[in-house]
Amino acid sequence: MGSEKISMIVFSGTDDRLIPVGVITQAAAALGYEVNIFITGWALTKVLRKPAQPVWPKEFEQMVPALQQGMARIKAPSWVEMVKQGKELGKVKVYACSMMAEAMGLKKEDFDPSIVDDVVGVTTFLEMAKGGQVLFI
Amino acid sequence: MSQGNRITVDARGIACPGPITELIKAYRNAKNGDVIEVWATDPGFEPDVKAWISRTGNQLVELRKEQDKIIAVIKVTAKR
Repeated sequence: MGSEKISMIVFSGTDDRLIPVGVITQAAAALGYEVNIFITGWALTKVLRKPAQPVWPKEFEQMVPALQQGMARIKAPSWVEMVKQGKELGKVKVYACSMMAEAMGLKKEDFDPSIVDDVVGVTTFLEMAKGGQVLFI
Repeated sequence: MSQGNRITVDARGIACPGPITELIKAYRNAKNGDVIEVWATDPGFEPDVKAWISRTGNQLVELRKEQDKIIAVIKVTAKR
């Protein structure tokens, strides 16, 4: 049971794509999967000590208030809360991509340490992900 | 086998993956012979609890739908 592994390359910075990152992470961690999350691209702006405001895709913008109300109604935690819950329950590691961090002028101390475990290169991530499932989100 | 404890997990009103998470939290503290009863309202809980049972090999004693909730009764048998 403990030998299963799921890894995610999280590129998107829009909240509609980050919600499933939280859901999958929490469930996988509870079930005993090892979870590795490699944050890159615009998603880096969401794991900072001062994270970016919620961003939604333009084509669904009109539906966002209804979705937010629905999320509140079903008491869904934020995707970050779900990742943190996953960390409490199991083996969840979150890494920031060093290349994109450099390109954006972000240093390790800019990232929220309650989410991001380390800033690493892609080689480290590929080695950790080897042999398991990988999702690109 | 000695009589186990009965544990009730009220996961009504919380969304996936909350109910399974709460079940697993209770399961971690349980021992073989215990019975865990979960109440949930998330419609995904019914297939999810079946998937969890087939994954873990515990015993699903009862799975029923009431008007306002899904009830799963699980006998803990697969703890090592």
